[in-house]
Amino acid sequence: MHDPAPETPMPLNVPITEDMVRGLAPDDTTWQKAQEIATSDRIVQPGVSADGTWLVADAKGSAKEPYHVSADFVDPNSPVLRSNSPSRQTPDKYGLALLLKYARQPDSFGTREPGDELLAKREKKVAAEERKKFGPAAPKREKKSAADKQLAAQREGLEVLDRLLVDLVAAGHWFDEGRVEKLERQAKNLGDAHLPAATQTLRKLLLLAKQKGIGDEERQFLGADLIAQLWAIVQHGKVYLEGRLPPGETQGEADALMEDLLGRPWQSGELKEKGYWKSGLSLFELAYERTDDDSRQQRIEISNLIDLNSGDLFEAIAYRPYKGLNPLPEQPSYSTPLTITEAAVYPGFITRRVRWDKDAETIGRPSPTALEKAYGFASTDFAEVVEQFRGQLRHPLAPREAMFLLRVEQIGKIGDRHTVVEDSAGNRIEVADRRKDYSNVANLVRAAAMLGRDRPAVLVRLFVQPVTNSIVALPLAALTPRHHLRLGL
Amino acid sequence: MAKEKDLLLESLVATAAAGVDTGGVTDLKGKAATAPPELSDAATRLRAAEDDEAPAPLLELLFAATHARLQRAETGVKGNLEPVAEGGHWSTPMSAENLYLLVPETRPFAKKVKPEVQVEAIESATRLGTATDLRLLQIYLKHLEEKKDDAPVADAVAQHAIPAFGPPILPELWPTLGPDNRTFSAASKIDIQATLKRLTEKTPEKKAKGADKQSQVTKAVDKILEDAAEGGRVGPESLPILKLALKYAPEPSFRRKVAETLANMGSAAAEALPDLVDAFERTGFTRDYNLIRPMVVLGKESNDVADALIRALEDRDSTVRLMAAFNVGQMGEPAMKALDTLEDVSERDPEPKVRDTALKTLNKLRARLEPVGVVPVDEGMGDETE
Repeated sequence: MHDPAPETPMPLNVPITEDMVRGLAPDDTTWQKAQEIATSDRIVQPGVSADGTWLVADAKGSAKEPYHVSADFVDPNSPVLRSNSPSRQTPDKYGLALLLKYARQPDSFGTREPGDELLAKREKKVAAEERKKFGPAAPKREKKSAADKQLAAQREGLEVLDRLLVDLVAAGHWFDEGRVEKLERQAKNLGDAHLPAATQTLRKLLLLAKQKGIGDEERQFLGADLIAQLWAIVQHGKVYLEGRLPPGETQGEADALMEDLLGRPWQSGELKEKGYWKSGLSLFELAYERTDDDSRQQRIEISNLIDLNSGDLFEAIAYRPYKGLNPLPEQPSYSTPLTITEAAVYPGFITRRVRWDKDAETIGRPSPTALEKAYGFASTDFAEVVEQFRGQLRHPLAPREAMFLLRVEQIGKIGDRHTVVEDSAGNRIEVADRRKDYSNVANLVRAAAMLGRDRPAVLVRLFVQPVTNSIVALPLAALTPRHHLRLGL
Repeated sequence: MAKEKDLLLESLVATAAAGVDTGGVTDLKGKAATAPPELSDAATRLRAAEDDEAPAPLLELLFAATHARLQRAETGVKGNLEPVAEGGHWSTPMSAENLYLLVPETRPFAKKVKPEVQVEAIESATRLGTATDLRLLQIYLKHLEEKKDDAPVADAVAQHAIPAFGPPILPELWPTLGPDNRTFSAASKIDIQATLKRLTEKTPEKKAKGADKQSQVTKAVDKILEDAAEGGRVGPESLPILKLALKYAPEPSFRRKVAETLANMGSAAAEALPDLVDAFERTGFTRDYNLIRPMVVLGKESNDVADALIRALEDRDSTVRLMAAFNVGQMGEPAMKALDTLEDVSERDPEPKVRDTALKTLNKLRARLEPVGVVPVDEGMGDETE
């Protein structure tokens, strides 16, 4: 027996010479680097497509994953070189190296087909050229489904973001006027890409640029943090779009993030099918929040609820866009306990979103036992609570906040600036406000004067203050078996 | 809480903010050499990267470093904990629907709730007992600081919402208490004595501002009178400050305003009569004839008022003598004590008008001693003297 003869790949439809490749190089440095790469082993799995119109390869660069490099010869006279390397040259050294390698060693190329993404790009380019050539009379192309269109837009959006991030880090000066204007345009364009989390983070960067009363150093640090988050969002987004899970991530975590990352709102049916569903909830509203989020361009209304059967904390949320706020119903607030026959409990981290149909809800009468029960569920060990929160923070894209009901031994001040809650073991958490125009902390102090002696339970939203890197608590409500005070707006 | 030191992260932020193209990555690569184990993969890639490719591993390392920092987030503040002093009673009875009528919009270009709707909401919540919602206190207090005169919501807050909280709220009001602001209106409605005490207390800040007792009282009364002029009323709760005003007010016109306010209150202001008499007697070189009529209105049967008027018949100012001569005739029984002095004035006063008025009053009083049926002396003096 002998080895089967190696498969002979289809040659490229176009002859390539070194001179021709050199003519495509944007400058001498890029050309030199391309030559170095072509002679090294950094071009991996090079291949020609069966129809002879593509060269495709991976290239080892400085990133964790290899870059995807391709040359599209649909128009033999003007090949399109593509690569997802962070280089800002067009074509970049990897694209040129691919051509050069083919010019020098065509035999090292196997058969390799371009991915769907590349085919879609070619199609788009051909369509654009036809439109240019024939105007409105351009031949109609096959219609894509809405889902395909969305997918393509998301892929393109993530690519744009990738380039944008590289550009931000390469050019710096994020908050210069010209840069901010450019970012504003890009954020606007991203609106059609169905990438809510990325769009919001980019808007946060823009809002940070305009924020008053903040020092340069702080602005820079917060900006860098947002850019880092945006990078993580893009990386996760790409993996999700490929239908994979990032290493170490559970399906539940991915489900929790998918809605925000890829703009796929959950439908009740889907949630039920996936088991994100609970029956027989006995809910009691501890607090109600209404906030305007300029980065989301939404008013967010939250009813903070406790399940009196399990002690689980939930949030019923209405996201109401600034534009078109009125047609959307408000999130109701409840002053008495309510029974829910069945409800969707969204995938999430510590604090889960809950949603139910109106006909699944029965509003009960005011009941003193509701307070007693809720109070009984308060966590007495702050160290355990903080550890649980830290567990959530380990996930790169998990929300940096979570709701807890804490049994407080003492509420007091340390100096003039800090107000803290303390458990019976002396563990402390500082309480802090999130908005500048209203103080939940001031209300907690008033509540403490009234309820402090009764070891109240305090509903808090733990969050991380980025500059000081401290875990602090926004107080939302204070309760004892007899009293219930809501502390915020 | 101080920002923790993280040299690698600082270098990453500085490099990214300055731009890799201009600042390069040499310094950062040096710092990356000592990256902790959890960042070493990304750090190695950055160190191996050519400059034109550095942004990608830099972003990866930046994320890894910020994420690692997040894992180190700490809680707790060290130091002595001073427990919150006990006291107060709060509640949060207002429904979200009504609450948000009174919460200012923060959404850009949001349609604001109309002031008349807000005023109605405050008034009805006060009636229902839900206005005293803890969550609204901060919003109410901000309204009290409203400087504009024409601010119906702020006025409703001062008149209804804040007073509904009662005395426990007073300490929250003291920091912004001024003699002529809405805080004063609200606080004086709750406890005028405490408010006045607070207002007239000497504090270093007030001294520094040149706010003496006299000006504080004057401004405070002005505020009360202003509120009254806008449809409110001056009730007995304002008597203490009006009495103080009689004592401290330097301007005759202001004193007159206060005295007239007291007179308009009628019998409710009776307790202010001694202060009024005192103010009349010790206004300076001559007496203040503007106080005569209010004195008589409030103290028709008062011996003190009669005595004061008898003494005023000998004042240096002829207008004072003239007014005293006329008004003593408006009094009740105590006026009879003035007969001798009136007789004397009717004969010897240098001013014919005073003599004439004294005579008329004398006749009027004497007529009271005559049997019933005698036609009294004409009382047309009022038009001439007033």
